[in-house]
Amino acid sequence: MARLPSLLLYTIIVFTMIIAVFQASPVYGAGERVVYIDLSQFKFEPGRIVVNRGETVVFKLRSLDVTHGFYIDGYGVDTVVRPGEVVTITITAYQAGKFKIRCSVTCGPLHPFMVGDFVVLDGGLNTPFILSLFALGLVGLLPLIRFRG
Amino acid sequence: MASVSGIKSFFGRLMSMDLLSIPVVRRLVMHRAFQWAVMVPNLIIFWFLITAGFIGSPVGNMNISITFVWMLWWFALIAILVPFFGRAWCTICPLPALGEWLQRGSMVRKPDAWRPRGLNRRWPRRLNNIWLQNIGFLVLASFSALLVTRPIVTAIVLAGLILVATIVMLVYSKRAFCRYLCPVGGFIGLFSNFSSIELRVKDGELCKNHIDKECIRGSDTSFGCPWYEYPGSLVRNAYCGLCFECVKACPFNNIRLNLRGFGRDLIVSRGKGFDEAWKVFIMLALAGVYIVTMQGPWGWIRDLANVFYKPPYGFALAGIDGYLIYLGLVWGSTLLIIPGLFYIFSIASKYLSKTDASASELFKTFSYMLVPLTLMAWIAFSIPILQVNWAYIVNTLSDPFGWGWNLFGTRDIHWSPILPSLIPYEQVAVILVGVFYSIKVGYEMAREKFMEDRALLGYSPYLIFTFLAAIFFIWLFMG
Ligand code: SF4
Ligand SMILES: [Cu+2]
Repeated sequence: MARLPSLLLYTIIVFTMIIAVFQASPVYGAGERVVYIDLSQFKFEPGRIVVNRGETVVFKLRSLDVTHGFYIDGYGVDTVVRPGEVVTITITAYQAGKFKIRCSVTCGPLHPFMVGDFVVLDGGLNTPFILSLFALGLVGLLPLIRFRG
Repeated sequence: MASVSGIKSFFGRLMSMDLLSIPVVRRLVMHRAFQWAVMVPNLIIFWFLITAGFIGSPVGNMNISITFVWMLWWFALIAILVPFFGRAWCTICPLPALGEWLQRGSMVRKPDAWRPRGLNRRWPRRLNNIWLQNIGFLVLASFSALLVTRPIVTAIVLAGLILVATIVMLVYSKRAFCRYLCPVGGFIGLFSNFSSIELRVKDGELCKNHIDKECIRGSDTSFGCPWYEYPGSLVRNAYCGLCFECVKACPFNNIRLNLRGFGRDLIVSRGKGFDEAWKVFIMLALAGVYIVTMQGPWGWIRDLANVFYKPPYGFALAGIDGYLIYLGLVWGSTLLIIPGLFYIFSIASKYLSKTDASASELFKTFSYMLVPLTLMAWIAFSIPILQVNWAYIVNTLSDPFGWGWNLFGTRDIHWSPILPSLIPYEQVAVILVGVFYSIKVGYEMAREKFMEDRALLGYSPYLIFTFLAAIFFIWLFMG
């Protein structure tokens, strides 16, 4: 009875550890990439930025209407973008995965929904996503194994 | 190892324990003032939130009506109350309070020679299902972008719900509003079938042989079940509002309240219907639509939902053509596309399992297996609401109307998400829990419905459906 939940737990632990190892492994590949983003109520254009791990990313930010914020989950980026100015932010994409870009300045009613995606690939692959699918397979098959026989 | 088995037996005992056998708990729920005492504070808070919605700042995240209802309450309801405590929200819900008190002519005590007030009509037979709740929920969902961002809209809706509840309860008997109309009650009921608590009778035979049935008819100290339920035949949580009137009524102390494993009621076939099946698809499809619109990178989809908007915080007849597309998405995906897909999978299942049951029968039965995944998708959707935007809740606690007050000194706490890079992992983990229970519950259904050697084969289309839905959510969070 208690076997399954613990199996589930171990799966999740292993899954987390693998990702941790991936994320901590040394950064390869370098180079610089300039990304232009337009901020307006209530979107980032383009909304999805894909880079490779290790790249230096230079964001050139511009607001098309009111004052917005530019925040990236997990990257410690939080800046204000006022209309009429171009804000430049440079980061190194050191951790792989998908990170939300968020507006951090209240800019209108749908402000909490003003989000974008910042995707950092590892050697061209989105490793956390692939591992999640792997975990999905394991977790999904567990209940079937249990009831056999 | 001794401690491990100690923990196991502790949990074993806890899971089989009747919470009503704890004297304090029993005394509490037996007390006539119990429900009144938990409703009243909630009612005061709701009145305050409605007032804030009307007179406070039009900026959503600076008005306590939005932060408390759509961040704090929503998260507590979907991530804690519903999965663990079933319909416990209905125990404390302030919406029907006024109506119930008027209907009973009393807030606490049951008067001698009591007769219900109001017209006390029977709810129409044809509407004895949750279709009105399904439609009501879709109507609210259709303008959710307004509802969850404009304080005044939230205030109008909450006040409107109280008004409708009161009127309905003066016309119809008991909790007709809760059971057949309340748009929140519909999904709480469905999801509570998954939750880890259940109110049942201890001895069903005793109920059968007991002619007076005070749990239905009431007694000196109880009004009887206001939810049109008979505890003796209760096999699912769906419509038990945990009001504990039956506990107060039963002369044999035959009601129990137990912890139990998740998802138990989903395999019970009694009480299943297409109204509930569609509720599953409405909730499943809407979870996807909401995550895409409110948390996705696609600004153009957000534009479609952002109707009636005049910058910066005004109202205008704008964006209607785009909004029609969004409406098509909301109503089409929930009522047609996703159920249609599931029906096709059901035809495949019928063919593979060689069962005598019709495809629509399978459709109805197996739709319930999606409840765990659907609930978890909603929880996953709700995680960032708190983890990212908690500061708005704390800010508005000090400055509820957005007028510049600073009651507790928390007005200026800076917006900063807590460990936001972990959010996708939490979301995926939650989805995986849902997948586990969905597939487990579904497999039990398959083994009951299909012949033994065909069970897995007949089940495979539903497995694929579940995996596809899970992949979609994981892709939204991680991909
Ligand atoms: S069975 Fe009826 S009276 Fe008892 S808690 Fe449920 S709704 Fe209330
Ligand atoms: Cu903004």
